[in-house]
Amino acid sequence: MTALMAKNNKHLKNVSNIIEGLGNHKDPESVQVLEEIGTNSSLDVIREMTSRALVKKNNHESLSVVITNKGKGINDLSTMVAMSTINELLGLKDKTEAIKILADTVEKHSDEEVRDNARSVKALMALS
Amino acid sequence: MANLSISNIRERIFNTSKHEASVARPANSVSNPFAANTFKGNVLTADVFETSKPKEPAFTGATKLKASALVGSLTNLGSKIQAGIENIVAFGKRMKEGISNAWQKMRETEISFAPLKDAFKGAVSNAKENMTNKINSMFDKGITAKQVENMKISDIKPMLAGEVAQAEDAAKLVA
Repeated sequence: MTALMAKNNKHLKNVSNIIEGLGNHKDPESVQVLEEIGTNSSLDVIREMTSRALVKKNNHESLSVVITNKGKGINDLSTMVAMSTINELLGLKDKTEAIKILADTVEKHSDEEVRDNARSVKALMALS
Repeated sequence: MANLSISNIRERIFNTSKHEASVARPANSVSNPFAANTFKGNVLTADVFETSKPKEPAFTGATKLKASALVGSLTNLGSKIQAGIENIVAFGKRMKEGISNAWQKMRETEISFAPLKDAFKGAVSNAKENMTNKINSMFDKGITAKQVENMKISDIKPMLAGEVAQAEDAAKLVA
């Protein structure tokens, strides 16, 4: 059991380092890799790491992934993942792009739940 | 006037108790010979000396019982000491027999350290494995974020997919 846990921790550490590296990567394709693999993981902890890395990138593509997609980022079914993503958004120094995407989502998104979430986060960001 | 006949003189010489008894102080008299005398103008009204007659303890029923118990215990003490000595002797005999038997058994028994050797081998093997794992984990830092930043996305993607899959599998096994 201890060996399994150690093995799991080792892989999680590698995943964390790769996600962090992709978060700082200059290639725009890094966002696609994070979305495709990280946000679709069955492990909450990996989805949380991925969402935070995408928010830190703070560009239109990366923020769109965590704001407008149902079941990802602020719309994740896991409260831990959603709250962690919102916390990362609130901690951004430049919130311009995030607020712009949130406003567009509130106005134009087809899913009501996504719109409601975006509205709530937008209100929080306006207060912070 | 004293009678100075030979018989009286002989009696006086050889039968002293008769005459001395008559001159001895009565037993109930005080021991202080100066009790009634003046002493520097003051009269000693009380007997300042303790009586020289020792007080003999009354040998009552309770005392008799205690004495009887003491004598009884002293009587039993001898038998107890004897029994103790006999026990010691018996113990010595048993020890001697035990040592003899043990020596005989040792002579007859073939001593083998095979199980101990196996157990020790297993323990060493486990310790070696644990140490190896710990040393490997210490030096095997895996991939770092800086290394990933300098890699191509085409190389990073399969690596991330593989690590995520392994982490998910390990999490399932742990759960």
